Amino acid sequence: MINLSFDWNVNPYIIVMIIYHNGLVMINRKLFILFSVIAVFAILSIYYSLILQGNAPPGRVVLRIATTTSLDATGLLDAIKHDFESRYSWINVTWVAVGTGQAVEIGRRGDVDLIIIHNRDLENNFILSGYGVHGVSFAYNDFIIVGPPDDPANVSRSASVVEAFRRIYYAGVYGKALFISRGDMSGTHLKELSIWNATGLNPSGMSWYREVGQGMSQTLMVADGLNAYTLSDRSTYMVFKDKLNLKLLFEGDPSLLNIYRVIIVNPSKFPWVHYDEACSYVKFLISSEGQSLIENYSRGGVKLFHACFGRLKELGINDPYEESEVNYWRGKLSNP
Amino acid sequence: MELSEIIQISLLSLKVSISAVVLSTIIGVFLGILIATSNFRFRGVLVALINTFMGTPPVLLGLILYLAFSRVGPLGFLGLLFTPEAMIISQFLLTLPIVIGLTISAIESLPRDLVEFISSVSIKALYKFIFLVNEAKIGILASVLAAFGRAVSEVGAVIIVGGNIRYYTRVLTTAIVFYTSAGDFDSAIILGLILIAIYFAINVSLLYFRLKMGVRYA
Repeated sequence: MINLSFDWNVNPYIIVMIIYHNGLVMINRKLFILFSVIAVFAILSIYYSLILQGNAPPGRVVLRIATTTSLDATGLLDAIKHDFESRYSWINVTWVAVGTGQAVEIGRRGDVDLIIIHNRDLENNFILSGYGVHGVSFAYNDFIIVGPPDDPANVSRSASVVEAFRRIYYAGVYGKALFISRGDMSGTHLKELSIWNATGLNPSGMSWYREVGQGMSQTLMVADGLNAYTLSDRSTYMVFKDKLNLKLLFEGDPSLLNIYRVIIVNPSKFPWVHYDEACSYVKFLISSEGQSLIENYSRGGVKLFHACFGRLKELGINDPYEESEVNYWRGKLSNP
Repeated sequence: MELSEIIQISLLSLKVSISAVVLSTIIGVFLGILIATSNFRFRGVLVALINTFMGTPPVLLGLILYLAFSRVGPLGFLGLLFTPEAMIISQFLLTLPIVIGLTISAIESLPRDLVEFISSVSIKALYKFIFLVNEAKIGILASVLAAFGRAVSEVGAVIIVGGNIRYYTRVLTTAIVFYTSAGDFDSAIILGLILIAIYFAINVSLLYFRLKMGVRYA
């Protein structure tokens, strides 16, 4: 075996000669030059990626958001970023689009400045346990039940979403329908579980109830492929509609509202949070300019979201915390 | 999708993966030759461990690195989370066992008398090292190729530590995930074709090298 006790004190010329004559870089001079160019490129690329921070312009504050996927996939956050940054040019808005559960966990570790999610229980828990401050609802759309066009479970004749789920349950038991669940602890999945809870039935583990553990778009594709029912948020379904056979079968139940809330990560817990910039972002979201941007945002001619700052009562939700925060933000808006 | 964004995503992909593979090649080839040529007590166990890590699930590595780089994690003070640097580190750690493991087998598959000859010649260790690299270069090249293939095509680690932030940490694979979930299948497929084209181009250039090298033994 070779003794490799390294002695780096060698003449570089000899190394070059060994490399050159033994064909490590071949006998071809052109190739040697080509290789050198590639090596230089590689070294430069390391330099650029380590020294220059990506393409974030120097001197701009990077605001980080952990958001639920639907706001990203529909392009709404891009539209907001565009308008927001034209006003606050020193702030660079970036976000990671993850499931609601993951967004909360990222916020709990102080890795972002803001989180935007859509499950009120998780949000209240996040705020009550001291990780978030000044949460406020700013947009909503709704959940819908989609399924096969011939509707074997007669979901479209239901009077309420609970009845619709019951119909799917019994059709499933009789082998006439399948239901695809997100199964990933996302806001949509938690909403689905709360509806099953309200029906008093437990589909977990049944052969017609299949959990895919993936995002909304993949879930819709699976449901489409298996000709199954699923619960979807309206915006994702609208974006995908042309690629799917699934039809919208049930909508409009008040309990199907899907409300997005933005929460600032508590700066007294995590001192590195960009609190002032986060406040500017929230203020923009709830300003009349931001609210009309959300209300009018459309893709393929379909409006995807509704603005709802300060209007939760009209939607049938009574939340004293929300009302005090609405007053807090109104005060911030009126004296900047 | 705009052309400028496609170019930006492709260049970032190349930048991240090439940086990671250059780093893992420099360190991995060195460690691989060191392990292949030395004899110590738990050598077999170490090689088995390295071969096991060749199959690390990227998502698991991403999650572990996320916890390490998180602001409250042990490496949080570096502020590396959701940056291209974190992606380079994750791909470096992902490809390092591949380079080490395949380098070991490349050295071990050399003719026994050749290795014995090199070790018997009275020259400095560094020259022995260079001789060995030279003799095993086809195997080492294959290891680099395998490492690069792993790096450019993995999505699980970079989407967690990079965050898939547009214009900043969105690479080809994570962009495919994004455009698929956004319902823009056309863009996703175009990006997939670019990914394959890049890997094909690198394979073709390395094939050329192999042919050139083969000439010596022909």
